[in-house]
Amino acid sequence: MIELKNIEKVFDDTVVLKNINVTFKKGEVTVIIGPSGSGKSTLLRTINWLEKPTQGDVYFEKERVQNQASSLETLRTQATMVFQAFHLFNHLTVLKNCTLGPIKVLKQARHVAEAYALEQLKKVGMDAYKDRLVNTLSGGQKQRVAIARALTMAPKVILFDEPTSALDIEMVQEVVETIKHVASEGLTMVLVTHEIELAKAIADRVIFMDQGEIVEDRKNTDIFTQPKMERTKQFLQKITH
Amino acid sequence: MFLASFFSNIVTMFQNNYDLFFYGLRMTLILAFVGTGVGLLIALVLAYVKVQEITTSQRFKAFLQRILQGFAYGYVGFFRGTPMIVQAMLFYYGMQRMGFDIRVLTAGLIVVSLNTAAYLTEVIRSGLNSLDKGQKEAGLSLGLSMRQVYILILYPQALKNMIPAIGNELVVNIKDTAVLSVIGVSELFYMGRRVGSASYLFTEAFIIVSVMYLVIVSIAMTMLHRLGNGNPRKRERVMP
Repeated sequence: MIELKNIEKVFDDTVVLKNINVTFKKGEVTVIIGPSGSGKSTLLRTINWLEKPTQGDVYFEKERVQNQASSLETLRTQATMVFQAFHLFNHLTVLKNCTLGPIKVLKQARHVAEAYALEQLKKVGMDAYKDRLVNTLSGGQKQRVAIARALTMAPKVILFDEPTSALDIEMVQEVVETIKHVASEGLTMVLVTHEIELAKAIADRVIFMDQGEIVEDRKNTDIFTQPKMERTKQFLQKITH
Repeated sequence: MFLASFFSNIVTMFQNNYDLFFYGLRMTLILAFVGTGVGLLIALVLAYVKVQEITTSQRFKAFLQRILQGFAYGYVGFFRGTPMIVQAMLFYYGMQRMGFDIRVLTAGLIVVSLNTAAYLTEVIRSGLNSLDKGQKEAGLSLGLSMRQVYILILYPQALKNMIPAIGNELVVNIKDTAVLSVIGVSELFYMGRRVGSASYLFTEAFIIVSVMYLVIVSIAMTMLHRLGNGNPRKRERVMP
């Protein structure tokens, strides 16, 4: 479904991603783990071209993504993103955050977009807050709305960039439960997280990254119990102790 | 005795010429409101051009963007770097020289709009830069085009924060449009000079003009104060 070929990303003189060759299959939930600065988020942002790769190509459903507005807009409509810091539109209500994309990008009629958005808000337990301005919500509530906003685009893939990292500890669980619920519906997901419990619960596949490279790519969650690479072992020991 | 005669002159002058003074006031308000409104629209476009990152791989498009940015920087630099009185003379007589028979009010409206646009471009640019970068990324990640991101997400948030600064520009324009009398726009200052020169009572005429400016500026500032939490006395213009 999504293929990254020979991706390299350089910021100034720093190589952030090197020699990335990876394919994400339809319906697969991939979790990317790794230490801070290992390039996890950059890899995720390269998938939908929020970061333009310095070298290499991204293929979405076998089509090469091109650096042209129409190509990027089509890609992003089908591969939406949930951010660490939510990035809800502060001037809009919860419902309007969820209908902006469907109305303006998918050209849905307002009543159709609102009905579908309410369905998604219900799914994440936020339908009762539909008329609230988003800056009146807690962190956990904001992230649930951000997930609903991504779902309203009926995307083929959702990219989660550390969705629980900016949350207070007591709010992490509500977001974890929401992501588990979304994952159970068979949506293709790529998720960068430090939440090992979440990763174990939803991952079909786990990728460990370090220093801009994919160190280990496992088709199940065995990586947590039987890591093959020494660097993976050291990382897992650090975060579980 | 002198004071009584002085105030009596003011009252008599106002009674005899109130239609001229109010005509001038009307022109001043038209220039200030239209100039600020049109200036704001131009500034939205110029600020959009200025804040764009040139990332496209299409050479012609990137070249075009550079040209537009160069124009935007030159435009803002010129209008903020020269007095409006000079811009008015240059524009009005320049148009005459090129064979365009432009009306003074039209010339005045164009000059005040272009001048305001330069100042508001910087206000809007800094307003856009102060927004979280994530707002733009969130819009793009929904598949919105860059233009839609600006119109639907960034401008509404930036403009809300900028209401005091835009209001200040309106207040500045109410006062500064007086310089357009130099090309013969019959705004309030021009009318004061005209009434004064007919009677040689310039002090009295400009006391009336001052009071009218003060009243209208006070009303505008009170409205601004109610609209936002900004400080309406603070002049936002900063020379480059």
